[in-house]
Amino acid sequence: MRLSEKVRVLEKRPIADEPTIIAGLPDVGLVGVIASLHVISSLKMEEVGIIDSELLPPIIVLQNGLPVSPLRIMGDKDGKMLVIVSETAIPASAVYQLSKAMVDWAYSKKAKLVVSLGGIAVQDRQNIEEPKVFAMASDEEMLNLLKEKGFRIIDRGYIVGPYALIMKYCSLNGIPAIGLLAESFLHYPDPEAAASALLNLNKLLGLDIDVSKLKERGEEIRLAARDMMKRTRMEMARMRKSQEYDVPPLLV
Amino acid sequence: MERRRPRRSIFDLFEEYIERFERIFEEEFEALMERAGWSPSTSTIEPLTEVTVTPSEVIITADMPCARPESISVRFLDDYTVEIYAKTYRSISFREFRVTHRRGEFSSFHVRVRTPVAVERRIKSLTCRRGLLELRIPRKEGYSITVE
Repeated sequence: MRLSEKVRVLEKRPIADEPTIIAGLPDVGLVGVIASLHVISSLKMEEVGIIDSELLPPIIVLQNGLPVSPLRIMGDKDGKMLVIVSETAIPASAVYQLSKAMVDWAYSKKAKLVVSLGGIAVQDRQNIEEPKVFAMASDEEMLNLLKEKGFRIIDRGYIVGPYALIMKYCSLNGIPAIGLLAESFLHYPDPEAAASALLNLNKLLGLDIDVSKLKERGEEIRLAARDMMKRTRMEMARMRKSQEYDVPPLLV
Repeated sequence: MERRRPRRSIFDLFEEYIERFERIFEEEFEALMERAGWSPSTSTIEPLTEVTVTPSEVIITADMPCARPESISVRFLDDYTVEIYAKTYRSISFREFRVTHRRGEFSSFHVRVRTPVAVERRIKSLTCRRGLLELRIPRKEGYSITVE
């Protein structure tokens, strides 16, 4: 496989092989982005690379007065765990090439595991106190691992967007991949769902990330994520995200 | 001699309809996106909203973290437009998001929501839990056809 020509992954520091890669991309309830930013701050991760593409809007994010790429790769001290996070909505038209490039890069790094953190929209979310988390896997081995660890599996259904493609390309290339999707609002930032997703990530990877701040500062997080959610909504509509509510035809 | 235009098939008409619908949808979305959601001049934030139509009512939800439930007010501007206003229980500023190049303090939420169908000018129910407003409004009665 070759890296997509329109997308470049630039490593700013040497990145060791066989990392565990967590993807936190803008999607339902911004669950993945909120959860990933929390992982980054909890594990004091630093930028190790960026993903650059002409398919993304022409923007930079300013942090402490300096420009950073909105789509970047963060790493922990020993570089064994990486987080790919985006602070801008990913245009629907760019999802294919960006997802493919991310998986190509994960393949070139011999990734041990790719974990997609996200949400799955439920219509009565406001009546749910503790959002449940559902999991999906790229192969039988990962599926069995999830079952052994007691995860709820999405048995049948549609997944739409970057996580669908990441799962597809990981499966095609033999990269072990898991998706953890928390019940979430479709169109509103959902820090509580992000907390649920992270508790399940702890269980999967043996981490101990404290999620209490996500709950305590939920209102602040919702306000700060409001503008990004607005732009993500539009891209989700373009991707026909509502197909996730559909029931696939039954095999009899 | 006048040439007759070829008759368009039902599929062409349907395709045209879908294209038109998608164009309107895109335009509405673009307009929503490019409208600033923070208004320092009125100290208001425009909340994210969602509208669902059921056979008997229209359900509007609005994400209003920090809203004071007792301050929520709802006005009907016409049969298709609902205005929602709520005060926040604390002042919100750009500084708390570490945005230092913009000024503004925000103390309320304000939004006008367009409904896709006509509604009665009364509220069936209003709840606000953890900053999420849910408003149920009865639909205006149209006409029904009896199937024999």
